[in-house]
Amino acid sequence: MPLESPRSMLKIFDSTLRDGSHGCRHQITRNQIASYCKLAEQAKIPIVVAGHGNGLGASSIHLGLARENDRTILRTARKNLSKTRLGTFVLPGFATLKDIDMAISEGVDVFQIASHCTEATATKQYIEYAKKKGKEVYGVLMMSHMENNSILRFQAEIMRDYGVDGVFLMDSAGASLQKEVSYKVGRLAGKWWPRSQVYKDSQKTPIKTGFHPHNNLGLAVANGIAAVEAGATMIDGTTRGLGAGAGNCPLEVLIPILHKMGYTTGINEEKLFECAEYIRSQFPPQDLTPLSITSGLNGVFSGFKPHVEKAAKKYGVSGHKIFRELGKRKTVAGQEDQVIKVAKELKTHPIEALS
Amino acid sequence: MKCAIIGTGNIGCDLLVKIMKSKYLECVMFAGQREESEGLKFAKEKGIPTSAKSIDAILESDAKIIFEATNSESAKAHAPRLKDRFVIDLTPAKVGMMCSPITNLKEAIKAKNVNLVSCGFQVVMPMIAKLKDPIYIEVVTTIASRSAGMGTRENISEYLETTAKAITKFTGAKAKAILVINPMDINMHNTVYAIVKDRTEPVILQKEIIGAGDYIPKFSGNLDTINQNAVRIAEEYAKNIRFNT
Repeated sequence: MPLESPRSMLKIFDSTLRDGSHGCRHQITRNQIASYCKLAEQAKIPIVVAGHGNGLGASSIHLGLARENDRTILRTARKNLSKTRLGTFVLPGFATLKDIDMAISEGVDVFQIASHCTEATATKQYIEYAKKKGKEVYGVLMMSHMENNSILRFQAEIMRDYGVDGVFLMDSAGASLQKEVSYKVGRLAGKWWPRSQVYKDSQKTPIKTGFHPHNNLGLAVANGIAAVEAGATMIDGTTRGLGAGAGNCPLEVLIPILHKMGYTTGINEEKLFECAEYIRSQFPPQDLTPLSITSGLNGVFSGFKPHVEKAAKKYGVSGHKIFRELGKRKTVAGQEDQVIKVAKELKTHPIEALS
Repeated sequence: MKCAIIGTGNIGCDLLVKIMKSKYLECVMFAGQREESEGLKFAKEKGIPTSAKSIDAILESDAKIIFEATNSESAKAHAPRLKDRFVIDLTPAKVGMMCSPITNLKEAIKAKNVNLVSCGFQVVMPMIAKLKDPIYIEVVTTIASRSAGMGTRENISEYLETTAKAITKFTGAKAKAILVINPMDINMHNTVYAIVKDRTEPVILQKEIIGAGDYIPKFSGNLDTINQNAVRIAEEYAKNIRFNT
């Protein structure tokens, strides 16, 4: 019996085969993709997002080489999905328009096209291209903890003008607390705006909003709920929270809670648990380590964790110090090379590092 | 030697300052499309002949060297009309011979149209040139948000493709280019990851570029480098033509 009256239908994006690949250093096999997609189909998950953790064209020495190439991942997923739609992630700067062509030829229906949360203009060419091909396209503002609700709203409007069907805020560093999530999502969703200023209608019209939590501070589920309560109609998570840093929002936890609250998702809970059990049988549990907490507290991209661990060991410096320094420098997703630079500097200037 | 700049954005203005410092070059025309543009105002203040008639003004001038600093579409349209001049193309139009001064300066000045590929390419070539027998090269360039104008942003896909292709052409290695835009005013940063023959671990080279700060801020080392190289090619051309005649 739901606690409250029935509410709107939510659209769930399952990124286990995309962000989840951060959780196993992009080593998901084609058999795992096939098996997972079959289960996701049975669970009636609306969209499965697949690919390298950082999207098309991101398999690299810089970020980590994926076991399977983009085409194989998409083709395998496509073969095992029918009603569930296939999505993929695109980060301009890594992917090219040719990658989008490839994805379309492999049967991708939905694109998530991302930028750092102040750089929406970098997505113009990609969003317009995918929209022109008739695809469903969502804009993604990453590292949304770094900016306030007015800036995020402005950036989301830029993406709206490029023609997106909705905008996701990603808490890529798992750094946000519930209240921040509520304000930011509410502002995009047109539920709330600061009273002190005068706004044009276009600045108040609702934008279809999604949220993508991370668990570095143990708040992924709580933030997912806060987002939905603030007006988000889309949630992007993974089963078992498989993903970067301390992981993503575990869908098998969040969805039953949302159902209990009176929201509908169209997802079959029992079958969703089977998805989670499958991931549980294949990958070690997502670990909320002290290093991930430091990543969250300093607002550093969750995906940096393995790079920091590696550099800390190689250069004999503390991973926590590396994270703190990366936070001070406001590094963004894609700057994994800064980890090596910072580690080297901490090694040569240990006194500064103590301050 | 007389030269002209077409395109009055940040690149054009910075080029102008660099040309005014050069003892081999003289800018006789600075042309754009909008009379009221900041760039034209800037050039006028410096006492440089300016025009809002774009390519037509360039054709009317007696400049021998033309710096093409518009965008790739315009550069493609301009190229056939400029075929009896020496064109140094800073757009990713890919019309002319690709040039990195460190590797093919001498050949490039014999061409009619020289293309600088991309700012990332200009910066990483000196780093890559040191590598022995590279098999795979990956280049990660991070630039400050403020040094990535709309021109850069609307051409990210082309930037990635042309940069990678040019690296492959010059080294024979398979290549991948990555571009990251950072919201802070950070200096341009480059990391090269390379797989070379007879080594299992990748070679990692890192370099930060700080610009001269002529017109564009110092953190825009990417734009500074491509402009420096453009002027260097022009000077080399000027010196050689003077020598030959």
